[in-house]
Amino acid sequence: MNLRPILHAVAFMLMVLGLAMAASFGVSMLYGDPLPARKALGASALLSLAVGALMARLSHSETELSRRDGILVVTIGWFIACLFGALPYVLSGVIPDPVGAVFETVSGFTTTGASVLAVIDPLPKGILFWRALTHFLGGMGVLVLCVAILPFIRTGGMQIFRAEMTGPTRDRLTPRIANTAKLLWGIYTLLCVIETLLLKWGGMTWFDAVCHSFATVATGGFSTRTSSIAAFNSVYIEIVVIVFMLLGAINFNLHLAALRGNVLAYFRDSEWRCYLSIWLASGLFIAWNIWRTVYPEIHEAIHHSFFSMTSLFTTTGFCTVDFDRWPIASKLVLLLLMVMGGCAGSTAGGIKQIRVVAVIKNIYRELKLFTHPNAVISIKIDRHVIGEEVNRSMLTFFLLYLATIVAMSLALNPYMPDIMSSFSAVIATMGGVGPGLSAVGPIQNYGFVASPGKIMLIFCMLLGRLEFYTLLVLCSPGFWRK
Amino acid sequence: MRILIIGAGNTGRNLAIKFCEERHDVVVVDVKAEPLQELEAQLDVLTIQGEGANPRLLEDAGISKSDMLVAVTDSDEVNILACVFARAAGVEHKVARVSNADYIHHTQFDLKALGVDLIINQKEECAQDLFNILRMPGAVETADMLDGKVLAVGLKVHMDSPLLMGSLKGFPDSRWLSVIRFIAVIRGKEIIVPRGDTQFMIGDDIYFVGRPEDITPFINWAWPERSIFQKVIVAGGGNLGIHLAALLEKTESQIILIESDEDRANYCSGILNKTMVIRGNALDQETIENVGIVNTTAYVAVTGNDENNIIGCLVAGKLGASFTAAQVNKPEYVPIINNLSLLDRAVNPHLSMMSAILHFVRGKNVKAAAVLRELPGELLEVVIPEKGKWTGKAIKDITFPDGVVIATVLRDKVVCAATGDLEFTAGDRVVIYCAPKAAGKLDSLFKK
Repeated sequence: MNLRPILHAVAFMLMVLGLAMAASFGVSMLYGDPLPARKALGASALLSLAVGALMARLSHSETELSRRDGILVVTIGWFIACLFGALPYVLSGVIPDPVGAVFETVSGFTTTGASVLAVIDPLPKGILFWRALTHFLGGMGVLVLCVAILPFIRTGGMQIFRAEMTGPTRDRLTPRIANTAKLLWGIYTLLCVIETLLLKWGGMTWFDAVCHSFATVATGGFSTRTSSIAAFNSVYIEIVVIVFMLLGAINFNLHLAALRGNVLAYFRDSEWRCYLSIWLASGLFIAWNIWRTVYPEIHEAIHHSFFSMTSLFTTTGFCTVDFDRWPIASKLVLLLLMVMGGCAGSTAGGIKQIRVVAVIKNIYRELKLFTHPNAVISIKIDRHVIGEEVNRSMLTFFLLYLATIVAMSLALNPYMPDIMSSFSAVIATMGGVGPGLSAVGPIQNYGFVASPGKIMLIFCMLLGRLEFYTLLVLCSPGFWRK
Repeated sequence: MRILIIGAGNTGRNLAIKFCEERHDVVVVDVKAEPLQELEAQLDVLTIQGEGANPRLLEDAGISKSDMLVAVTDSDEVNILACVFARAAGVEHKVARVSNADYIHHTQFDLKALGVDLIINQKEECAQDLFNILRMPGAVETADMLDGKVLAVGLKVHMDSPLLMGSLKGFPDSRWLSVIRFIAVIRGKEIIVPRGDTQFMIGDDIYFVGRPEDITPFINWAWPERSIFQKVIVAGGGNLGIHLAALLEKTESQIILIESDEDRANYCSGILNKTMVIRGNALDQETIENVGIVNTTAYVAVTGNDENNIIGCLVAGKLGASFTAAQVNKPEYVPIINNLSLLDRAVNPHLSMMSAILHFVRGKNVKAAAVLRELPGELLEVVIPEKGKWTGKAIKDITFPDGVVIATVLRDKVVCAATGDLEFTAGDRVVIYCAPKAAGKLDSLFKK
């Protein structure tokens, strides 16, 4: 393990954060925020840049990042990002409680969108912009951004990339990992720009449009309004948001193929087909379920069903209605969708469609083997055979995910009013969704949870975003041995 | 440059490492997943698993965007076919490893016409390497340049050498200075480009170029104590062993080839003329003693097994062979062997190939004059164009970057001494030695 190159990379990441804070400071000045907010953002930006620059100077060395170091860069990088990212909240007094501020930051970077804030409308614009920026940076991964722009990260870049990108996917699109990272960030930014323009056209202010497009494409869920998307009361905006939530939850490799002219790539991808089928089926089922029981008009039922379902299935977490009051069948479907999450290689959380597909195929194989014990059946996805090793790691992930949900729900229970709240809170944070059910439902927030509970949920969010192994590998003694 | 490497064996892997260091875009294809995973873990390369000559896979690997294809799988046919497809896809440089001599040396069916720009025959290159070492005993290494008209030689300075008396300016015997040109001195890890006041020291490796007919007497003068090998024992009758023995048959030495397999031994004796073929185990004490090793014997182990080769050399050394060399396939072994000084030379066929390929990458108007393995830096051959920067200028009027030496000039098939007064004319073939520190400045040297 080479501490120097690790810290060097982390130092540059911190400087990127500092620049983002400086941008928020600019927004704060532009909108004439109250003095404490401006001061807080300015001070945080300066502090991050100064510490980053100092660290970069001290850790300068000739050694290159190795493979193992890549994992540590991600873990240490996220740890530091979450601490420094909380500075603006604490210093400005928006969230004076440090644990709450870190919760809000982690929720931003992991694109969860779970908030401790009850009222959002009157908050300073600069702070709200920083909140949206944490989504933007965390969605595609701030360290993937570093891999793209820092020429000195080479060999270790692959590992950083793998640790921060979601899901098992054909990760390398170009011979050099930096170029792949650049391409993905390019597409990501492009989607944000398009959505901003569309939202602006739909009547939002520039500020709202930018913040909401950050929160949508990153599948985050932080809004600039207390009542979230419902505040705009526009079907057009809701449709735009639905489309871009879906785009954010689809494998970005497919977007790239489409941009290169191969639009059919979407239809050839079995994960995408599976995702869209489940999306359509769940939307129709919930619409049927809530029609007449909650909403008398069918168009209302379809409209609300699809928005809330898409919001939860893509692990975004925008709200327009209180789906906590829907029938239990709908709520269970929603919970299931939250656990499944988006596609691999997207900004969404959850188990990921591709793993769900793999698990279903494994079940099918086991059933087949029951009747034909000597049959040789390989697990195929998109006509490519999934190697035994990849298959095993997908199954283990699936198991680990479910087991963690159960264990964390129990551990969290003392800090929650009922088991449904703690269960859905764990699912919502681990999957990067945000709102859960019952006490943490769409019109509630996480502010009431005591600090130990918040720390548990922070851990859940990080586990879900970094997909377990990156964090858990640090707990294995073998990793630390030379 | 985007480079596609087919075959992730030793050569492919080392090439990938080298190309990555030089910041090229590298794609590696192999049939087996394991070496690819290992590579991807180490390097910033794209790896694709599959048959190297499969058109669909080559398309996947982005062959039409590639600037160079290097096919180094174990199969000649796959390598050649990959090059054929690469030509169809418009790849500019195509390199193939071809081991079967019948593919290479046929006048009617020329691989170049099929699209293979550079053919690399590992066995032949390696045999040539070993032969170069053996024919010039005492030399660290030798290499032919300019169609064999000039030799580049590295020589260790020994205690009793007259070279130790005086610097280049006050050279002990001035007649050599007009025919021999010193290009570099390796002292420890340092590379010194010799100037007038450079003093040679014991243990230096000195590198010089000159005509073969001048080099031999010069070495005789510089190192009078050295001995010529009267007998060369080649252990192993594989293709490499046969190549080497055939080359050695041109010299005066007595050649003995040891091969354990009866059929193979018969085959060897059918091909070779002067060589005595002995059937037996090269590691067997009795066999070796029967062959007879004295202090003018060189022992070269070229069986396919690294460990056997090394042990064979140790045994031969113990019995009194004056020079031992082994073919070592695993590149990891080479530095260990050199550090322990177990034997005089470890020759790695992959490293030999690598340098040939790397030189090929450098470009078309500049080509490698010779490949010296122990000397860092490069020996390059430049043809003086009609209207170049240097045309019509005398050497002393041109400013060269630090670390660049004009080694020799060939004009109308005659070797000219590269003295300061020599003026370049169009068509001159100039050999330049370029120390590693000057490598970055090379491009500016040749561009207009």
